[in-house]
Amino acid sequence: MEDNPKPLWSPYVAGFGLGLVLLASFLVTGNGLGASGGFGRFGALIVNTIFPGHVEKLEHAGDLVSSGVPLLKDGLVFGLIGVAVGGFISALSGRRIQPLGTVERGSTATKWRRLAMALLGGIAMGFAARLARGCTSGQALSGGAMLALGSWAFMMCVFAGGFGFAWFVRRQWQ
Amino acid sequence: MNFPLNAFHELSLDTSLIVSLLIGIGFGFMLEKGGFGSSKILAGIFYGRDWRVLKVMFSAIVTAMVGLYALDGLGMVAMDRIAFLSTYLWSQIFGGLLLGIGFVTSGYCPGTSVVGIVSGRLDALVAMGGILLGIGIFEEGYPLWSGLYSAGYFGELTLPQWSGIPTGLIVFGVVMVAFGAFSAIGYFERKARGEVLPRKAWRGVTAIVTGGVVAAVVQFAGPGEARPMPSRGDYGNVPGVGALEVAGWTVEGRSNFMLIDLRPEGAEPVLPGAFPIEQDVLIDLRRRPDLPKDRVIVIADEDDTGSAREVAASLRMSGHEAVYLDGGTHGFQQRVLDESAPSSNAAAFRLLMSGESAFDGAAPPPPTQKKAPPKRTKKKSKGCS
Repeated sequence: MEDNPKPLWSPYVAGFGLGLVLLASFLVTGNGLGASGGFGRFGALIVNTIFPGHVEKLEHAGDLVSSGVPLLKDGLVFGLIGVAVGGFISALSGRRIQPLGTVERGSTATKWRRLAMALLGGIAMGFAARLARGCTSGQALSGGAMLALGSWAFMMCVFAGGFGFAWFVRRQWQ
Repeated sequence: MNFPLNAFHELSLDTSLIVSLLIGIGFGFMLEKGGFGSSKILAGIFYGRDWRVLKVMFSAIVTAMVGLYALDGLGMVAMDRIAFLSTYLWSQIFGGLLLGIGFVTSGYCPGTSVVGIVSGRLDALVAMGGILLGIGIFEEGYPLWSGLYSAGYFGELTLPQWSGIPTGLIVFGVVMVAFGAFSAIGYFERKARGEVLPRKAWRGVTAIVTGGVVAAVVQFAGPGEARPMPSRGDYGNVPGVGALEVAGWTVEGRSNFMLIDLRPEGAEPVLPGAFPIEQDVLIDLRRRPDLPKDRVIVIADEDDTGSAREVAASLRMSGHEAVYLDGGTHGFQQRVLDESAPSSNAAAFRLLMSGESAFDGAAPPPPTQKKAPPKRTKKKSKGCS
C-alpha cells in the first residue's frame, strides 16, 4: 500500500487546517486540544484493572477516579480516540499506511536501538507532560494560541531541549 | 453568535463527547496530512533536515490565535469561559526541556505517537508505552516532585498582561515572527535545493499577514469585551477591610457581606461563618461558584499579602464587590478572637460565637450561616493536563 503514497500536504496548509480545528475546539468546547490528558486516563484505567483501588490512593492521579464518573467518559479520551480515527483516515486516503510493525530509523541504525530510544524518550515525555500539565498539543499549541505566558515558555523549552539533546541521540537516524 | 458554544448552550455529556471525538478526528487528520505520523520527519527539525514541524505548528498557532482574538475583538467570545492555561513557570520550563529531550529521543510527542501507531509504525507504539510508563512514574512518585509541580505559579497570565503590551500588538507581533521564520526557512531551503519558492506559497504568506493585520485592528478598534482576569498591577487597587470591622458587621447581624476563607478546610484559627473555597476554584471562572453580587465579599487568607488580594481583584473584575481581610486570619486571631483583644466589638463577637448573646433579647444568628454554602462546581480537567 505504501508503493505509491500521495504527497503530504503543504505544511502551511496542514497547519492552517490544524489551526482551524484548534479554533473550532476553543469556540465550541471552550478548551484547546489535548493528548497527554487522555493518555493519563487510559493509564489509570489499565492500572486500576490490574490493581483495583490503587489509583485512588495516589495523591495526584486519585482525583481522576474519585469523582465516580467512568474514566473513559471524558472529552480528552474521546479526543484521543478521534486522533487515532482521523490519523487513520488520512493515512489511508494518502496511501501512507506502512507495513505493520515498521520501525523508522537511519540506514545503519539497528531496529533495537531505535525501539530502545522510542521507549526511553517516551518515558521522559510522559513524565514531562504530567509535570508541565500538558504536552505539545495541550501546552504549546493550545496555550500558544491563547497567548498564555507559561505555554510560550514551555514551547521555547521544548525546542531548546530538543535541539540541545539532538546530538546525543543522532545515531538512530544515521 | 456567542462563543464558546458550551457556555451559552447546555450540552449534554454525550453531545460534548461526540464533539470531542469529531474535533479529535480533525486533529488527527491534520497531523497526518502534515507528516506528523513519521518520527523521521518529526525529529528532522532538531537536525535542521526538515522544518515541517515548525511550519505546521506555527501556522496552526497563528491561525487559531488570529481567529480567537479577532472574534474576541468583535465581542463574540466570552474569553473568561475559554479554559486558559495557568502559568506555573518552573514546572513548565523543566517539563518543556524534558519533553524536548524525550521528543528528539523518541521521535514522537504524545499526540503524534497515536498518528504513528495508526499508520502502522512499531516505534510509535513503543513510544506510547513509554509515555504511559512515564506518566505512571510521575503519579507514583508525585510527593517527591509536588513542589516543582506547583513552582512559579502566576495564575492565568497571558503575554499581553505580563508584558503590558496591548493584545492586538502582541497578536500582530506573533504573526510577524511566524512570517519572518517562514521566510527565513524558505530562503535557506530554496538556497539548499536551488529552487524558486512557488508563487502559491506567497499567496499563503500574504493571507497570514493580512489576517494578522485584521486581528490587530479589530483588537484595537473593535467593541471588545472586558476580560475578567486581573493583571498583576490590579492587585494594588483592591481595598481591604479590617478584622474589627468584619467582627462588628457580624455582631450587628448585617447580612450584606459574605466571608470566604482560602485556607484548606480545618485550618486554625477557625473563622466563624466563613465559607472555605480554594483560591484555584475562585480564580478559575469555569469552577467559580455563583457568588452574590449584592453583598460585600471578604476574602480571607492567612495573611493579606498575595492570594487574598489576587482573588479579590479577580472577583472585582467580574463585578463583585470584593475586598481582602486586612491582616488575614492571623490578624483576626490577634485583634478579635484572642481573649485579650481589647475592642468592644471583639468582645461582643467572642460572646456571640460562644453562644451567648451580647445584647438583651434574642440577637440574630450570624447572617452568613443562614444561606446554604455556595455550590462547588466540579473540577474540570482542561486541555492536556
